[in-house]
Amino acid sequence: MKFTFSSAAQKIILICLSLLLAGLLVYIYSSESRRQNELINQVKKLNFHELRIEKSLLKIKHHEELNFDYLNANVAAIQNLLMELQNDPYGITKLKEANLEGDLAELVREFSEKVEIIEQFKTKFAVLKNSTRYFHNLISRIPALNYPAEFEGELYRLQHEIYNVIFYRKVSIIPGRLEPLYTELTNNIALLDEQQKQHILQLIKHGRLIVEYSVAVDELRGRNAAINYENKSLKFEQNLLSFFIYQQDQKSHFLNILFATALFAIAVIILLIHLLIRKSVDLKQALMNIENQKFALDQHAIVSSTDIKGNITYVNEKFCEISGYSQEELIGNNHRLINSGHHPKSLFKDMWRTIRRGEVWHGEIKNARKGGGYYWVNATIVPFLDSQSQVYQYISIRTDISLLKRFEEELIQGKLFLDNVTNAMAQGLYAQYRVQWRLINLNQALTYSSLGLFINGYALGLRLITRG
Amino acid sequence: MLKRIDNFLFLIICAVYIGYICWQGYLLNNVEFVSVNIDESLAADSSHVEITAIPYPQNVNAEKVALGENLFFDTRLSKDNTVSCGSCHNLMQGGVDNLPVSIGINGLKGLINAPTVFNSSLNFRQFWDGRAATLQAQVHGPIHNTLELGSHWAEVIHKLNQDQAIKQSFSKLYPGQGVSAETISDAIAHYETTLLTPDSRFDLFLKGQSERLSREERKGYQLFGELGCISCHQGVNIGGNMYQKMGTVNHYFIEEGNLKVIDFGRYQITKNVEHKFEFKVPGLRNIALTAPYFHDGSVETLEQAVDMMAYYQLGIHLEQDEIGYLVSFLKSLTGRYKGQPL
Repeated sequence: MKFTFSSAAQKIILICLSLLLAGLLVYIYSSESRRQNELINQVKKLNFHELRIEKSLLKIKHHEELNFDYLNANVAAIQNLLMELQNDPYGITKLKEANLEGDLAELVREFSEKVEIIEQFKTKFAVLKNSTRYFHNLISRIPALNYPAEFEGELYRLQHEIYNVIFYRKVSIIPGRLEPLYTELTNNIALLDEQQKQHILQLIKHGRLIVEYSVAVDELRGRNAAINYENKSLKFEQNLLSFFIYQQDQKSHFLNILFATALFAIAVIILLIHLLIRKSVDLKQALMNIENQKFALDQHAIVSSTDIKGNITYVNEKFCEISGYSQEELIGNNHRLINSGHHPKSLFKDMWRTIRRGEVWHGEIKNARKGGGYYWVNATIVPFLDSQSQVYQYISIRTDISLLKRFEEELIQGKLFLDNVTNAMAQGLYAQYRVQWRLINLNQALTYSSLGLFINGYALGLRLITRG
Repeated sequence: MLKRIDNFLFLIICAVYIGYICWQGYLLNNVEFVSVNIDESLAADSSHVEITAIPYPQNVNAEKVALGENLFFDTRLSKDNTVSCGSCHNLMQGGVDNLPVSIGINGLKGLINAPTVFNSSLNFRQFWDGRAATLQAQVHGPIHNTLELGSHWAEVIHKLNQDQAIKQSFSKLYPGQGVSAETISDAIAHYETTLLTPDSRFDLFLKGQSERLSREERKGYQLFGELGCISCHQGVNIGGNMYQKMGTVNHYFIEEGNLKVIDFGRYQITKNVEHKFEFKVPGLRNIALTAPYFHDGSVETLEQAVDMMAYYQLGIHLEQDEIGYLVSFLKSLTGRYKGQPL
């Protein structure tokens, strides 16, 4: 199996992975456990202050707490907490499924109802307390007012009944027993002096108030007991905790994803490194092969490379040897340096046209040697194309054909000499291959008519003996 | 070349890793245990007595208080730049204007008697009908009341923003908020929480200096408790911590007549018949200085006020000597502001 990643794909994969990792990190850091803790503490206080309120109400009822400041402070504390929560600095309303907003609204509604009851309780209880105090005050003045004995008895009966209301809260049975007592007292009031009369009227008035407000206070206490604040606040708290657990669960999954992504990223990187190593081994092998081929080529041929303008960028040893120049002298110079001037310009024009088109050119070229002299080469020029099919360099590979050329020249010279000699002769002259009897080297005197002579046996004949 | 880039990348990755680990290690070192603080100021240590002494101002943010003080006396809070909070809540006159009803912009008369600004932070709610839960919420009222400051927030904020000095102190004390309805209210409320009058002779008496009250005053305090006044006028502000009906025993509004809208008290806000004629019980601190009395400012003298309260709230007629004792007790409630007697 062979993986091939283009370098663009590699880049895209790595960038995606690092973005994903960064995003996950940011998400996981953004949820703040400390703020959750703060919120839980706030919510706990909702219950705590409610407990204090209940305690206060009980203590107030039993005259252990004598002012409402503490009660008010705790009510205000809850109101502030609820107001803060409704401003939602913790973003608890964002999660629709948990419906924390609904729970909070219920809690607020319940508490405002409770506050209303507490306010009425405070109002009514103050009046009750006031009348109770004043009633007690009135009772303590009975001996000083010198009532007739039967009045005094009835007044102490009244005291007994009212104290029953105050201390034992027998509110339901008392009114029926009190009304006859009030009528009896008011019926006989004419017998008394003004001070006693006023005193009795005050006792009756405050007695009635005590009963009335005891009933009202008890009713309010009952209504307060029916308020379901604790349930609502518990529900709110529990749902809030569930919400946090939900967030934690989500977060743990995100952590898992982060972990897996990190592992995946590491695996991808390892794979890429592995592929790179393998590729580099292959490349080394290929490079070695090329080196060997180049070595072989250098042993055999004269090799040089030029850029597209013809400036020499590389020469091998054979080139230096044959041209007489050193490497330093050649590299950077134009190939014209070794132009012998032997060839017409049209040859080079043709050559450039061919190789610029990206085609291979073959030809025999006579080059100049350093310090005079020439040499002949059989050259092949190969243009190298880049990925856009543009020529970026030329390699020329040559073999030395100077010897061949010299023989060729000598042969031509010899033939010319022979032709001149034979042409000076009056007789027709010819030479003939022994094998095929094909005619070569006819002189000018040898005509078709004289050829006939040859056939008749008059002509001078020369038989060239060749090897093959 | 490629190899050099690879090395460079590897070095960067190593550096990032080591940096991250060091950072996390640093954070790990800095994780601290934050212990939870319970607000001790809400302890029940003073609720076993009816009346407690006024505390000294605590945890004061001096800069906000100074800003609030400037605003309290700033006439730009009114429409025509003639009236400030301090115009009607005169600190030289017990925090009131000693008028039955206050006079706002253009000489317009208000509808209700101005309650004192002194110790207003000790009240459980603000206004006679208790419609504001906090001092902050209270500020909104007079600014928008057409008979008082007659302005509105946009106008006030615009005017204050013209003043670079004020604008700067706002942006310094309330970064990110600047001049706004909330911050103006907050600064004024901060100032108002410092307007406490501790160390009245009565408070010193409560703290154990029994010689601070004369015989008459002590007798008055005793009567204050025995007659039941203390049932409602209780707590640190000697009132101001509950609602009560004006005329619990005898009908004040029937017998006095001349019923006005404001006489309905809390009912105006809640529309609950239970709340008809209910008002916040006013605190009796510095009561000798804040004449005239009651929500309508209809009563000129303390003697008359005590007499009427006894009749309407307790259903009793007081003797002249009892009224005298009670009034002398009430006069001992005048405290000190910044160490100076009011």
